[in-house]
Amino acid sequence: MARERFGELEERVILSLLQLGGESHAVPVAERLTRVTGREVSPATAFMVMRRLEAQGFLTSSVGEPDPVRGGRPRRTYRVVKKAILPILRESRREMLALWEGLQPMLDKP
Amino acid sequence: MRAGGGAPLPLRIAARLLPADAREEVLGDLLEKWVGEVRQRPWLGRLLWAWRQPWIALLARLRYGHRPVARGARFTRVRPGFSLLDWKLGFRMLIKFPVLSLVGGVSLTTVIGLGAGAYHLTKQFLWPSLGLEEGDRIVRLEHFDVASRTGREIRLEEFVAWREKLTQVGELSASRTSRRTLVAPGSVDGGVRSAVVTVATVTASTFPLTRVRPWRGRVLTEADERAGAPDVIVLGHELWQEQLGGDANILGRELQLGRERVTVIGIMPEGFAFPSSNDAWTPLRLGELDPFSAGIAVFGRLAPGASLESARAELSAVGGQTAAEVARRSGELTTASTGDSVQPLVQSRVLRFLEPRDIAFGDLLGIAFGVFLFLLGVAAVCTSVATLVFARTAMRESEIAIRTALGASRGRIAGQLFVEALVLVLIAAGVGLGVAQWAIKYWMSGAIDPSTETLPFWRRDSFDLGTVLVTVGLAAFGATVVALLPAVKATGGSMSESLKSTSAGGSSLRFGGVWSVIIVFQVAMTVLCLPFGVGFVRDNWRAQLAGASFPAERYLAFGLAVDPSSVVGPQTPRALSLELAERYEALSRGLEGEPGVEAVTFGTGLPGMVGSYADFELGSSAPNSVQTVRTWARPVSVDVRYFDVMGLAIVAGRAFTPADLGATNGPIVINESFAKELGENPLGARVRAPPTNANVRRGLSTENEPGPWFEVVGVVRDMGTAATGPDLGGAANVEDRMTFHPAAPPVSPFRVYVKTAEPAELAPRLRAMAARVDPGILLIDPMPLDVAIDQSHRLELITALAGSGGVFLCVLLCSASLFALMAVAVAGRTREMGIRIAIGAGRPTVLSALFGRVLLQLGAGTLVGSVLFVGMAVIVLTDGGPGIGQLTEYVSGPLLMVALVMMLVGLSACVVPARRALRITPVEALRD
Repeated sequence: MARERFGELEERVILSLLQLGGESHAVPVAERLTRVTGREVSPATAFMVMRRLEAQGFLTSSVGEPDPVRGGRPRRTYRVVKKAILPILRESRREMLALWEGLQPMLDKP
Repeated sequence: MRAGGGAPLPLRIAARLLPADAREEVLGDLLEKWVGEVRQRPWLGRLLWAWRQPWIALLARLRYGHRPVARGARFTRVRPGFSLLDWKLGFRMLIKFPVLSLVGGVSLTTVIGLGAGAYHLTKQFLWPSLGLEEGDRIVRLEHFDVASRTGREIRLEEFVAWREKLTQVGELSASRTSRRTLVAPGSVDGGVRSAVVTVATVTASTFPLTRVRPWRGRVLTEADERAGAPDVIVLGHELWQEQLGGDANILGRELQLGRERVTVIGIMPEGFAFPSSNDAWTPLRLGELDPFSAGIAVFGRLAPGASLESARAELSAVGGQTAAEVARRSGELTTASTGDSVQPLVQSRVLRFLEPRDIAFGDLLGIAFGVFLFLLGVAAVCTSVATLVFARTAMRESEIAIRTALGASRGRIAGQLFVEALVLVLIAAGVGLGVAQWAIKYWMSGAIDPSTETLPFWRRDSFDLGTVLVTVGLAAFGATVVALLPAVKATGGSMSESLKSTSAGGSSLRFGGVWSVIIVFQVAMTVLCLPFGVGFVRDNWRAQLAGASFPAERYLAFGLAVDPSSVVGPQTPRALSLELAERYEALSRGLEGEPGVEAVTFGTGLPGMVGSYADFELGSSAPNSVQTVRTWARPVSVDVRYFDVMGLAIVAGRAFTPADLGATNGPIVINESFAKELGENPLGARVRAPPTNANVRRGLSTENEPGPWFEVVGVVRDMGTAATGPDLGGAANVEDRMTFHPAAPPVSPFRVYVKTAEPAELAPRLRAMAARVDPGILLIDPMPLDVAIDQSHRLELITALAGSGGVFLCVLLCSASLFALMAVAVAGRTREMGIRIAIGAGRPTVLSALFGRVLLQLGAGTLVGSVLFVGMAVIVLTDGGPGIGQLTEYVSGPLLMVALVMMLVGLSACVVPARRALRITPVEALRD
């Protein structure tokens, strides 16, 4: 059976990845999430989420060259598999908009 | 794995907390973040960020660390560590490794079974339960003699008064128990069964009190209690099944009970034997009995709303009045004047039917220590089994490495190993529970020890839920111990190392320091326990193998008693004694007239068959000479013709003569074993019973004064029917020490021996004859004497068998562990040995390198065990036992033997792995 929705952090990580051009490694994703949400997200958390999404087939990854900044360790870059994630993201957005429908005036009130 | 590469410690810790395949990359990400941004923060900010990372990493691993099975899973969730496949694999492992399954299974079965049995018996002893509806509200009422601090009998008249006056205790019931002969319908000569049964004569209120309904027919009613009512009986289920063949038409039939004919009106359900261990119930007819007669037990149930305290207060008042009234009419004293006050001599009190045992703090500590020791034993056995399981795991290292490489987590692999261990332990627990249940039922059926047949009904032989739960707990504990160490070792190493080793045909797993300690401990415990075990088994087998020194198969033996209800007049102990003596005379006259019967005699028992030890102090033939040496012996009262009839040779002095009855010098005959205690010439030596508790109980002395002197007038040959005494290894004392005292009938217990060519044929005729002579005669367990001797040794036989099994298991488990150790050692050093052989090393060199550690462990274990054994032997044998000279003699032999056996067993266990090691070719070892 197809997966119906992502977890909250999974969805945020995927959206951040898309905002970063559809591919990135854990540090930029974590920093973007921290900046946008105001809650610090560790690169370790972002990495583990992306690793798991990769195992589920929503992301792919590749290992780059060793980087001296990283103590000589290579960087693993994750890429979004759009065909797999877009149907779920669409459904998620539709649900959220439906839930918010008609509530805008309430939010606009001082 | 790459080193930290200059990363701060907390970041390295954080990386270590993540799965192995994510560590390097996450550490790189954290370092990138650290260098790029965090390092610019103030020191406190840097510190806080860095030390938060391990926690974040741990949480991230827990939340996102597991991998979903496949894309498309609907919801991700934490999967449990076990699967059906693990259970299947567990069963397959049992079949694939039969020796481990057998050795480990039998060991675990033994300890878990012992645990279940011990828990059941301890619970029965400490916290018994009646098993009746609201059984905790059933109480017993009794008199207590203030001066002697013992119980005093309740008179019938008191019971009647209590029944009228007490409001806090309802359904008041009285009971009187006696042994009677029950003869089934038909003619005794026609081969119909008769048996001695325990009958409770009770008031009709007893049955409503227990809230137990009859299984068939009806229980006693008030109408049955009235004088002149027909004589009726309610049967117990067991009596109906075993003695009356489960006759479906028994209701309404007449049975002969002693001298009465009674009609069966009901059968109680299985297991009902209230108030203790009764086979049948007849009505207590108060109107037909002397109101002053005593010997009744009184029970009741707390009335609704009443408490034990209120019942006690009420009985204290009512009981005092009633006792005073009864005493006034009977002329007894119930109070004593002490100055101005009057103190009661007798108190009436209410107790719970099963008063909870008063457990002192010291007892609790003892129980806790016992439980601790037992769990230590369980842990020791489980650790031994864990050694075997570890060896099995080592053989499957490649499988585990490949599974890990395919993505199985450490927890998953450990879970699989735990389930495999659990399968073995659960099967062992099931078998252990079953065997323990069977053993307890067998024991309580009286097959081993006839005294257990008369255990009260609340001593249950069936395990309850609590025992099953304890067994499950033991199994879980055992499975954890069995699985834990192998799982930690098997999953703790590097996957790449494992794969490399397995591809080279070797193993990366090693028995480390923990295992060395385990092996040394195991060998030491085996060396420590084996000499005691072997000695214990030897003594018990010797008792089995020893034959009687007289033709026991030519005697019929039985117990003799008298049915009190058949005695006319007051049933005082003296009257019953006289009746018993008269009936024995009549019976023996009748028996001696029977064809084939040569002679009849009596005694309180044969050595090893009856009687407890008594303490004696030794004197000499000189008057007023008392040695301080004390010894023990089994005193037996016998007929003056006893030695003659039993064919026992007098080896010194003389046998008894009728003149010895009541002689002032207290003539006794002793056996050869006792004579050795008294030196070269035991005749004329004197012994007496000092005032010890055992002697007071047996009536041989008073509390403060020793008993009279007994003079040895003869020495009789050892009968060869008893085990050794408590002298460890004392080959000289093959039999218990005995003193024979001349007695006229009756003696207690009264056992009769009939010399006849065919005792088995005489037994049924004896019953018929006894019934003809007097239905009030109780014949207890008539059987050929050799059968009786065998039966009395059954417990020793079972003990000998169990002890032999235990010793065998101990050696087996130890050798299996050593075998496993060697097998793993060989598997782990395949390549090394191949290289050694390739470069020309000789076989002895390879073997010494391989077995050096095993020899060291064997030697260390043997040494530790020997030291412990000698220490224990010094404590046991010098504390009231033989001196240090005999100690050396006793200790050196068995200890050397056991140490030698252990070394042989250990080295034998190494033979197969050693052969395997020497067959390894260089090509095989070096392939990679």
